[in-house]
Amino acid sequence: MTFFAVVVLGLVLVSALVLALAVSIAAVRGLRARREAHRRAVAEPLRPLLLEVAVGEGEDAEAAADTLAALDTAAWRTVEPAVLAVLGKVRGDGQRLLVELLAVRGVITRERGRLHARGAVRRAAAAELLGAAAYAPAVPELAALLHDGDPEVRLVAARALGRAGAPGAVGMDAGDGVGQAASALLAALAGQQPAAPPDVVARSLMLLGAPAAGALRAALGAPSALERLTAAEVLGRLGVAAASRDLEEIVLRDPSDVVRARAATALGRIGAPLAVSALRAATSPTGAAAVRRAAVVALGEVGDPVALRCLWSLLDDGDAHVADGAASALLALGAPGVRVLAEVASQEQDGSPGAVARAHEVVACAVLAEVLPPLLVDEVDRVRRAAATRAAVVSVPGAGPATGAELLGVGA
Amino acid sequence: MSWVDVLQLELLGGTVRGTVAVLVQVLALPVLLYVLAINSSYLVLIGLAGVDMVRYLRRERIRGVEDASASPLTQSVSVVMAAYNEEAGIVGSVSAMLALRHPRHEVVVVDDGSTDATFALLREAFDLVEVPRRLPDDLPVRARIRSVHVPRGGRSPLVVVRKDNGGRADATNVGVNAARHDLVCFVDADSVLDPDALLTVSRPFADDPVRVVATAGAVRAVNGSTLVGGRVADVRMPRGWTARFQVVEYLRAFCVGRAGWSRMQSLILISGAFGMYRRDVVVEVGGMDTSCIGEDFELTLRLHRHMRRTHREYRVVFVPEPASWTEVPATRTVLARQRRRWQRGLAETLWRHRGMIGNPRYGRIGLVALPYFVLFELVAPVIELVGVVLAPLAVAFGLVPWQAAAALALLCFGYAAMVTVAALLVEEVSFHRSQRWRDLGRGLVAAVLENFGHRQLTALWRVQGLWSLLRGQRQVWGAMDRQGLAAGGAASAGTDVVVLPETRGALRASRADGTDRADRTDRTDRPLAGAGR
Repeated sequence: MTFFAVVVLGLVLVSALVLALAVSIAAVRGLRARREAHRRAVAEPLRPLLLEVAVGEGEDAEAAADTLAALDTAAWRTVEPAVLAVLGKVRGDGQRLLVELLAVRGVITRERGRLHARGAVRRAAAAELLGAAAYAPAVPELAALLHDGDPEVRLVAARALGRAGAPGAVGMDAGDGVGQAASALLAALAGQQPAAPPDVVARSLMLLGAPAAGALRAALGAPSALERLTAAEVLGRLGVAAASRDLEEIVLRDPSDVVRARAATALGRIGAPLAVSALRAATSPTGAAAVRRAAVVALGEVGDPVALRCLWSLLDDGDAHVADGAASALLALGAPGVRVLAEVASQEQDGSPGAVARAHEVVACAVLAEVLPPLLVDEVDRVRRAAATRAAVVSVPGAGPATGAELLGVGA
Repeated sequence: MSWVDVLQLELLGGTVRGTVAVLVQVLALPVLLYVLAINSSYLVLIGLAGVDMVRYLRRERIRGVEDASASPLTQSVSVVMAAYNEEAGIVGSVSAMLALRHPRHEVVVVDDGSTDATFALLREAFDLVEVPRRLPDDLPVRARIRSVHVPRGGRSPLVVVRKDNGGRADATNVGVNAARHDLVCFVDADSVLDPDALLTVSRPFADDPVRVVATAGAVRAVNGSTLVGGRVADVRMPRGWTARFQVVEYLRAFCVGRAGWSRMQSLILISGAFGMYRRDVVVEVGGMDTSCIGEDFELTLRLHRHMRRTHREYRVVFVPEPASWTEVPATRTVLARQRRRWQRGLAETLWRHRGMIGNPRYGRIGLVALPYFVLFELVAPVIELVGVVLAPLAVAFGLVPWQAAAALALLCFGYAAMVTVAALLVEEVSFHRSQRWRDLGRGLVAAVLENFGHRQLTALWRVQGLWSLLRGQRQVWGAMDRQGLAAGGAASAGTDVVVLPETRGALRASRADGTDRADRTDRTDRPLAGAGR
């Protein structure tokens, strides 16, 4: 065979492949369009029934669920994706009816079986569905999946546990489903390598809500730093005031800076005034930067004027983040904090140039961006006018007081 | 007497034919083998990308995007947009960015010394007020910061920083300094992101918080498509062939250049048009290099270098969907400028990091990805141009029968077209964003036609880019006649329908009504690995 013949043969082959690929594209598109048309033809008429079930009110919903339950296999197969798509978006009676419908159609049993499938994606998809269904009886199986060999499966199982174990989940009996889910989730963080990403676990623990508080408080004493950190984070976000004392202990004594910082943040979120002394101690210049920064922000969130002096003294801190945090925290404290800032900014209070500049910046930003309530703006104006009057008396007798914006050194 | 004989006899005394004969004998086979190898490598990468995309799609139900959108624990993101003379679409673009689905994100716009109404439009649309906010100096900044602005009353999480002109890299570094959140997402000022883009591209950081340091999003060409409320609603093929060729190039490039490499854990190019990074890591490596044209490529390489040198386990992940949509040049003049710059940026960056190439210390990056880039991205246009010049000469001097040369050329073009059509198949099986049969036909035709002229021109422009670097010419940003992708999507008008104008035609129209925008700079498009053959 000559070189030319080989080239021509190659050309024919390549042309055939290009054509085959083009036909494949057209076939894929055509098949998809056909499948979509079929789905629309079957599923669209049933959509009102599905919505009726999802609303879950009255006998109409029950009747609609019965109609969907009685569909032949082919029609159900077409409708099932739509049912699953709605599943995670409804709560209450609608969710219960949908789960009952899935149970009647054998979907729940099928998916529970798939939790043990060979394929990781199948196991994860089954866990996802049972989570979306908030199917409480599956909590033990989902908890077991947290030990799965595949990280993706463990992640989905952690997410699903938050829904399936939450109060109000479908099929939740008097048994301690919440506690079981909480313990399993916290245990997932216990090892050297967490079984699931901490923020996914934390999100699920938040969904479990206040009933998980006991397990969370117990986890504050766990040997794993990640477990303590997550527990502190969730307790703060859930606003569990009863955990304040435990968190204060953590802020003051935990060996991990990250955990101490997170506990400080949690105390700020809870807003317990009694925590101020612990938070003030955490701002000590000898402390870790992360803890100091978190404590400063938390002092602003707690909202106790007792923190004023502490925050004021931090306005010229060597750590710019701590100093900025102190200025923002003073602003967050409302009128007393804003007054201190305005006084420092107008050099009414003794303050270093750094503190004056920082206070000026924070107040000016807040005033100019109009994020301060009118009462606080008036407070700023009052302090500034007083300072201006005094300054005018000293330098140019007879000069009138300026407006707050003018005194801040920026155009109104 | 033929003109060839005249050339032989009169110009070079018969030595041209001999020279060409030697060149053909020496280069013909290597060039052919090179073309075979490069296209085969693309085919392999597309195959890997196909596997990756199927894997990605199989996980659609378990991705947990809905959960992330509702979770207060979702990592917060600062979207950083560097803008220079973007008056055509800045308001719509910023509105669309603010409207993206995410529980906690802010938009930081850095006006890099615009000379048009970019800032005035932003100030009016978002009721901006200047505040005396000092920005941290986490990253070094070259140009002077003029002012910082926020919306009055804190109505939206927007910060606008005005600075003297200092280039995109400098503006991006300012944006990182101004960013308050843990993740920073770099986008172009005229980019349009799909609604879930931020959530999805930030997801890998949550799934693997310790190792993931950066994610790359897909970028697609938007010319000709319809925008509704600042979002791409109807994907269409543009009218002009120059833009159409780029649409298939982008599809192929993100198969070849991103998904395939991501599958091999060797992603070395995160487009500046849509990339997300951990802010602390960006600060750690020193931000974008202001002295480099291919600053996004350079940043990614520096990131790899830093992580490997500090022996840290890390991952850079490509997220193939959803996407960022960007306007591509519709005229050859602008395209030429863009490709020259890309090639020059590629060469500069590779030279800067030449110590990584073939270095086992950098694992697959050093041993596979970078040598591949040198061999099949840096050198490709030179070899292609050699083939383009040599083949006609060989025929002209009677060294190769024209039939054989034509068949060989068609074979090369056919193989290249097959690679592109394979990429189109991957797109059709996976995301199939274009719905029209007519556009499918146009895409297939473009996959074939781009081999007849467009690729050769592209090779020429890329060689010119290399030449300008070798000669030490100063690189300047060229003009880009963009029309503003999110035009019409004003802050208060989130549902405007905009059919994206054909750039060239609209430019003529705008000239007619006295609103010529041709002086806007072309700085937003990024190198496409595997595109510029």
